Amino acid sequence: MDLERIDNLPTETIQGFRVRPGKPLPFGVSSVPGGLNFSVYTSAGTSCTLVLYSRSEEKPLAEIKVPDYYRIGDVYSIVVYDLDYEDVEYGFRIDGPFDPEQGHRFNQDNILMDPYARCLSGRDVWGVEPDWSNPYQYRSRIAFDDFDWEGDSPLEINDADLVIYELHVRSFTKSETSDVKFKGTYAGITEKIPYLKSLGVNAVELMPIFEFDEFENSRIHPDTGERLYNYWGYSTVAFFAPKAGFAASGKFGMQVDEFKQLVKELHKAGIEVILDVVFNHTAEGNELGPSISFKGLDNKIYYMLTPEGYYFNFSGTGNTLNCNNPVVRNLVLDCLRYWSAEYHIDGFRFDLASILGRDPWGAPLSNPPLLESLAFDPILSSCKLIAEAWDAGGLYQVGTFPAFGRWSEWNGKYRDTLRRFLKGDEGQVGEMAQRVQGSPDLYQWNGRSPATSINFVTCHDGFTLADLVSYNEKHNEANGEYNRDGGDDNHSWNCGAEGWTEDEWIRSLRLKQSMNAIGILMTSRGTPMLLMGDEFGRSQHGNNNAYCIDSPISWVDWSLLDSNQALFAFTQKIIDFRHKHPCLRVNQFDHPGSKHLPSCSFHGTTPWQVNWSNDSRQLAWLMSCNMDDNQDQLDAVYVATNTAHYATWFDLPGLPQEYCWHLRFNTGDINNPAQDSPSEFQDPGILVGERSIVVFSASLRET
Amino acid sequence: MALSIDVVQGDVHVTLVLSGDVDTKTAPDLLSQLTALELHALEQLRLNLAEVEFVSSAGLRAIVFAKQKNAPQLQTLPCFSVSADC
Repeated sequence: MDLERIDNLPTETIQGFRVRPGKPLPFGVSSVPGGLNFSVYTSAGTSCTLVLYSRSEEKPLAEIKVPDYYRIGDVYSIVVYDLDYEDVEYGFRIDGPFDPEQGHRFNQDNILMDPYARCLSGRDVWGVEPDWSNPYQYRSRIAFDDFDWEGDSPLEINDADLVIYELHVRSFTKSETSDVKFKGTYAGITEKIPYLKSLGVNAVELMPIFEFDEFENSRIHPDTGERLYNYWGYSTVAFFAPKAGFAASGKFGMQVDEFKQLVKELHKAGIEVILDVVFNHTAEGNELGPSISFKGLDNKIYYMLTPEGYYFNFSGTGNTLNCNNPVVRNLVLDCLRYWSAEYHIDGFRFDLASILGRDPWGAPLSNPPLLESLAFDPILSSCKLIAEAWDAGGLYQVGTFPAFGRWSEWNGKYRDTLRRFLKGDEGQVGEMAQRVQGSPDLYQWNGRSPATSINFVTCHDGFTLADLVSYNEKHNEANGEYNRDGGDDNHSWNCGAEGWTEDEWIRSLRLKQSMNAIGILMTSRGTPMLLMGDEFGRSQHGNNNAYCIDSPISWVDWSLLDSNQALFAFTQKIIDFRHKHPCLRVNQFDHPGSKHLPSCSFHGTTPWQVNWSNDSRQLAWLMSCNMDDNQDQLDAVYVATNTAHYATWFDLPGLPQEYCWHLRFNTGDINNPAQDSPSEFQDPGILVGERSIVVFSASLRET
Repeated sequence: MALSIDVVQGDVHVTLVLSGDVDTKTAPDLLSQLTALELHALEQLRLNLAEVEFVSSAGLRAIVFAKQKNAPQLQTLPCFSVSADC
């Protein structure tokens, strides 16, 4: 017999709505029989009013003051019955002191977004100018998990086996040249999955997709009159909500489904999904910024404040989230658990992650509780946790980030060393040797592994690869800041002319340098990451900080896939080569190697002898292990690099008698860089062209 | 607004003629109706939405779910008389 539970029945009517005291957990909105449970935390607020709207209506449907006896501890919760969850939008008014010096900024005139809102309206379609007169801009909506995952679950690919592809949702397919139906959206990426599969990457890292406002700090370019946006989105409005403006179905409120569909289809293709998450600050800015949610709910709890009540600015964007406060820590944990469990996300990359290791007064912690909680969380146990191990307050922790055996890092030192090495700077050979073996100088001493190092030569922040080999200087005039923004330490080289040129020799050298970069990246230990479009020469015309540009400067030009087919084919083949050779993916610094060869050895023009001197520009490495499926069979890859401006002969290291070398790649032969020759390499060595690399693999001799 | 559903059976296709709103309250009825049909045996499922003013995300989910689960053979799902606002 079914019994009707009395704790599911309304106890009173307020403003015509049947209600009852709610449950304090979970925070946000949850479904209960016949109603919706609303729960919100405020430690210093003195009253809470739930404001309900019908979808898109300007005036509230009702304002229900939550009775004080509905509060448990610092949590107000209420069940409201008979609401249509698809139609309702909601927010809170919190009363309390307005006393900035004490850290309080309560103002019951503001309607505040639920920090646990799973879906927002108000920015449903990208770039549609909002109605600024509306007092409630970012409206909390309700989303429940009723998606058919068809048995999907996170892929749990080994870190060392990943090839990550960083992309911006809108930029990836917004261009007319993308040839997809739903341009600039999650659905657009879904249409490009066959392309990603053919490239060979097995993880995409999406630049921020948590709800942000592209109109935050939006302005008009002083010279061109073009509108500039918060385009990259490193400024979160709602941590639990996918950006509606990135969904073709956002205007129907179906961004949750569209994003889940993308994740499901990527997983079907064997591609993991990593989210770039921004927990270091929020879109509320400093004391002059808007009061969207946290400021009005509990400013003193959520933000790091100076003794005078101003905002610490370790993020460089106005405020700093107080991540090691236990309440905020739980919010971050809840958020990541939600994305992992509900969206099947495979990993997270934390923007300016060093901030997450600061105490409430900004000092770096030796044992940050948030980072530890994330590392040991049972739900996140298989998730990749990747740190951008620095912040805008001067904390630089590449190699020293508190990892708890779990965190990997964007290795900025790999990027800088590879760039300097490529352009032939002196004194780079020693450091390059560290980088290609997974940076043991950074990660071995503290018991970490090569895959701790996310290796990259370019990312969204800085030049694209094509621009790295085409510009000596940044050209950021389109950003409207008179070329003052963006980094100046690019370690780039234009190969002889600044920007576009008709000079065939220069163009050929640029192509070769691009192949060299990708070639070294894919034959290094650690986890390689490519920036979208680098595989076919995407350019931002020298702009190394296109954070505000919603134009073809940022959008991937897919016509380049045809015009730069050689670079694409090279990239595709060397990624495939990486997947086939486990010796490149060894994830152990003290790996014993194979029966015949050490795990990783370095060579110069003469095997086993490296010229480590300051003016050396030749370095070769030989990696080996036993084949996964046949422990008696050797897997070995030899890479020789010559960054000098003249060709140099390299003697090949010897192999056991039953093995021989096969030449697989030679960027010095620019018309045929991927060799694919089935025949044994007969010569005792090879002349490596100027600024070129060669890659060999060992095979059993044919008897 | 309530939803009424008429099923018009053809040789190898079925047309559902919907009238009213497809929202949180009525989407389960549509899903039940779709589930009751032998969708896997159809060459085409057609939806006539001429008399429908509003389809919410719950309504779309019901249609997608039924197609995904019971009619993977259908390449398209023709919808008739859909207004530009839908």
